[in-house]
Amino acid sequence: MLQHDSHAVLSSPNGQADNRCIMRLVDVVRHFPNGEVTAVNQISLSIAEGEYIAIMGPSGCGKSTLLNLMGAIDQPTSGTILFREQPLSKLPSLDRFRSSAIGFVFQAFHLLPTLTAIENVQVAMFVKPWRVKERVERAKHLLDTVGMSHRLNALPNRLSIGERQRVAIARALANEPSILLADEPTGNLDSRNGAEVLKLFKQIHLRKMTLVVITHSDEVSKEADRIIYLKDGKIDREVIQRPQTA
Amino acid sequence: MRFEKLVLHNVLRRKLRSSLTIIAVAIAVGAAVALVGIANGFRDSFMDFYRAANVDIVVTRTGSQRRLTSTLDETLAQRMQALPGVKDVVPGLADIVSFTEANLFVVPISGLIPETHIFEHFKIARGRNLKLDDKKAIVIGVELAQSLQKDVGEQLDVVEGEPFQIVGVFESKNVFESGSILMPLADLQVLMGREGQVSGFSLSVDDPANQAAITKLTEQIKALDSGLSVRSTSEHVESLTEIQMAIAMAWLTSTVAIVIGTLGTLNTMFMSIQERVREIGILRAIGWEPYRVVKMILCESLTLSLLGGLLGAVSAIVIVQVLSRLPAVNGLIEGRIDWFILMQGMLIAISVGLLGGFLPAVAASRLNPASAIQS
Repeated sequence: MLQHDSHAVLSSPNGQADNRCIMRLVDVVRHFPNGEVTAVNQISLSIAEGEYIAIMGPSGCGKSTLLNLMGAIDQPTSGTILFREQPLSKLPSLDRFRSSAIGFVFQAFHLLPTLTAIENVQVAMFVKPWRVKERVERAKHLLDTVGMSHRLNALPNRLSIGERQRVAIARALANEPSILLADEPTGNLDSRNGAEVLKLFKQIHLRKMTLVVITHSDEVSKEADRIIYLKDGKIDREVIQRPQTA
Repeated sequence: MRFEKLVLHNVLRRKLRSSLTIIAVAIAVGAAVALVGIANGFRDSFMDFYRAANVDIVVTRTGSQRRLTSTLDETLAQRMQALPGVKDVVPGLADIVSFTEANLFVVPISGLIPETHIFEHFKIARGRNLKLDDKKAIVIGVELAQSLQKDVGEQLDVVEGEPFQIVGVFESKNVFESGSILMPLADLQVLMGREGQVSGFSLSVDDPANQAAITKLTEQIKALDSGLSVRSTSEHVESLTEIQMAIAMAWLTSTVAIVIGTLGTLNTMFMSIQERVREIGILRAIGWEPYRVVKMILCESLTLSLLGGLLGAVSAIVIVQVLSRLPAVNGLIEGRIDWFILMQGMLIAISVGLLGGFLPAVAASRLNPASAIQS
């Protein structure tokens, strides 16, 4: 394992961003004026394409806020977030960016309660011009991939917590995102279900998708290429477990 | 799953609230359709009366929008008859009586000259028609006969202390006539103290299709007396105060109903958004664009309003049919709800849906995904 100082940036020797970089944060700040809280404080970070990053830290250190910023669900107070070297603020539509580039797995799953499993996956696909039949087939395929082919027509309140998480993962993969962001995907799961989800993430990572996962679990973090530790809204330290090769 | 299914699904989530909203819209649309239909029926009844009697021109006193207040000299008829192109001139006196014991307060009574062509379209169901030498004889419409429980051979006090013999009961497709009384013009003039006076003249011309000839004739009639209003039957009917008031009241009441329906829909949609803030946040977070959220909310609102519109239109047709058969109405009201009025009703429904859904839709689309998810 290699340890880096705070604010380490993945860069080439001349200081330019690496061509393999899929997302870069530069001096990003998120300040909440209501409670006068600075949840993210001058974070700079580069993420390589295909990299598996775990973000860890104590509660309230800004992990979820950071993930929301990376997923363009929230906007920074200052600083720049670039996706493939394009500032998000300059993109014509952040909604398009979210639908096409990002897959988000929420901590509380956030499935739509009145839609079945297969409908929850399909609702994410309305943003693309799928034909109805194609949409249904893809949703079935994704649910089959996450081991939910036997529960297509079940409502979320009929699913176990582990099953809901798997549906949430299938939904996040619906539009073939470039980056999968997951906020404590095993936080609400027992060890068996947590292991199942971990296995899914490994398979996703093997397909060269970029993964950024917030976790408290060592089981999850030990699978990551790099662990970023946050403290008080800043990067405290980074640990490279598997260096990225060009 | 189709987008439409998602919309329908959301509408059916809160069945009671959706039902109440649909009923509110149905009341708005139903009121508009029924009232406008009744007003149109009222107007068409007048038109039917003139059409059936082959009347092409109506002459009344200038400034009198109501037949009852129009007063003309009876002798004008001969002067108009002498004009070229005039086929027939029929004077008439109109008034209204009431039969309080039978709860009938608006019974039209017409004084006409018997055995003229204007009587030809009255189909005698029982008894006989009026004759020139009849004195204190009347014929009554079948609706009135039923309401008063009177028949041929019986006497009827047209006004208190003035009994008239019922010599015939007539049928008429014109709902206005079916509830009315016909008597000889001279008798009505005496009864009302208006000897030598008439309310107006109904003219039929030789060539109804010749508009130029009718226009010329109109000018010639006006030249006979400066106080004359000379109009085609359609112009005359449209100018009647009763018609204008009926249509104005219909639309005024409809407007109030529409505002209430819109407010009801607005309230429902805002409540729906409030309950689904997190869901909408999730949809935005997974990439739904604001316009797609707007589209979903508007479609839900339109679904409610269109269902309400359909229910309202059907209810209006049924209610108007029922109302027109009530004895107290005496056949004076007949709703004429045609496709045009039904289309207007559906347009009202669409407007209610769009107006009631627009603000909530925009509000929903502007929700911040991050804070909405945490709500």
